[in-house]
Amino acid sequence: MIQPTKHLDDRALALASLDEADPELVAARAHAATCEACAQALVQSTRLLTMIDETSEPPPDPNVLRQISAKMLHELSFDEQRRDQALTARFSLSRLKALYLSAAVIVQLALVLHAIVMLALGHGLAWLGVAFAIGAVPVRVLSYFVISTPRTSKWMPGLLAAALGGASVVVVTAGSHVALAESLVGVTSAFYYVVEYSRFRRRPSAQLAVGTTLPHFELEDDRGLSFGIERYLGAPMVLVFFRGNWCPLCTAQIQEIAAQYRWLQELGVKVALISPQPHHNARVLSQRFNVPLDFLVDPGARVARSLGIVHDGGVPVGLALLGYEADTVFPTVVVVDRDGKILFSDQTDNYRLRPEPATFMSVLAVARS
Amino acid sequence: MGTDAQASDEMLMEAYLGNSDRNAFETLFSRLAPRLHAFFRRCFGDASTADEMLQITFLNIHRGRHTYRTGARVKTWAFAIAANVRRDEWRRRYRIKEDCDEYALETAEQQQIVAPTAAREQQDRIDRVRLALEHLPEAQRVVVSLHRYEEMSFEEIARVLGITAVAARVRAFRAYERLRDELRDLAEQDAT
Repeated sequence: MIQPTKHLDDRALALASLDEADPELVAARAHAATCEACAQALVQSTRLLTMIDETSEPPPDPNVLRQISAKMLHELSFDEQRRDQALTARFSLSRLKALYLSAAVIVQLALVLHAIVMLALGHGLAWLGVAFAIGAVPVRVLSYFVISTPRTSKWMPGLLAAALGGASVVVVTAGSHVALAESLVGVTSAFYYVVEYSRFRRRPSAQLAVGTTLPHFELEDDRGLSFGIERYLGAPMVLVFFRGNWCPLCTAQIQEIAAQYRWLQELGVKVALISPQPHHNARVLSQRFNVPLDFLVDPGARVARSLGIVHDGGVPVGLALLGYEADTVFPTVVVVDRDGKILFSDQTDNYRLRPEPATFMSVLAVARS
Repeated sequence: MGTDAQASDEMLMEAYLGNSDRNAFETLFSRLAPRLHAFFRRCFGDASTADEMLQITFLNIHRGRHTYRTGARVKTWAFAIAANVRRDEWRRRYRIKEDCDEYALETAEQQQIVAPTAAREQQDRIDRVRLALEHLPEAQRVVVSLHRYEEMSFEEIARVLGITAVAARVRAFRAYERLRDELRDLAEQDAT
């Protein structure tokens, strides 16, 4: 049994707060039985505890509770909808596209390694050609992660030249059938990437056409607190819908805009960077850039869907492992005036082509004057 | 459903999880929301922050509902989520890094200047007690709040906050010592 060595006075409140069965309290009571001052201290402390317990907080505003409860029920029905959609599982062209890039990077890099090994083993210069042909796409794609690339040229002549040049070397040096086949894969992949993969084939969104007024929608901040877009009205605003932190062109685009934040602040322009990605990723971005831009979340790409800019199955296969959902948003930049009228709308159909900040900033400058 | 009123939190949780039962959710919400709101109000001291934290907590509860393990006490699980939301908010206010734990938060708080603002005189008892609670470091206040108002054991508090039961007890004891110091006159005057 624990024996208190000093009088209980100082610790009386702490002791009184313990469970009746707690050995420390039992010991304290035993001591108090022999010591008048301590007995009184315990009695006082029990009263004080009652006072603490009676200090209640005012109840929450019933309207707030109703709003939150309604929102949660809305979430519940949204989940049900999604489950129903998942049941009618879809095999779509966009899923095939999403598979392409992950596969191209992994398989083609493996083939590059193969070519380098063959070259090193003295199987001829043709394998150097193979390395270029098969390596063009994955090396370029990986370079986005190393060198900040907000946009590329439309036809990527350098990439196509590397692939075609490599293949020509194979033909000229009369490489083996395997070398020819691998370089053919490389060239096909390069053309597919430049001509088809990069294109969204999206339909222009009528809700985001220039001249119309931005419809109502709700977004969440990086904590998960939701609010209506009206909160931003009263100041001109740039809305940047981006695909997620996994997309290096998107983060390069954000970096470009972040570099202009002083100018944007001077103009009193609000900037909202919106993505259907986990909240955690939005926090990561806002810490990385550390500028007063708002990184917002569109959970489940609901807003993207309602605005007609959703990209079903647009996230490359494999990123689900990082917590990303399959659907994302087509990269879109919208500028609205203080009343929510759309002044500028860039709905690029090619993920490698995005507007330069100067383009929409000139719109803002004109709107101001 | 008429049976909801008697159903335990755990039964309601199963219905909400298994069948997306709306009534079960609403009953559970009506039981938890006022408690969580009071919890946040005690932590942050104002109603509008508490409103926001409550919304975030319920979204996290909903989106993380599959982390609930059958048989666990719903209240402990829900308060642990709330404690995370609370920690994130303090982290944001103190500008400390993402994913800090409860101990890092306590250290950060000690570095902040805490300035008791109170004028003691002419306040009724409830205000005095409330003010004394506000003067506690938040890391201690949150423990008192769970201990007294949610009637949790130190083990349960430890689970909610992600600290050891000993640390929870130490925080509580320090808090009660401070409260007794600040409210000594109230206790004595009441005893007579």
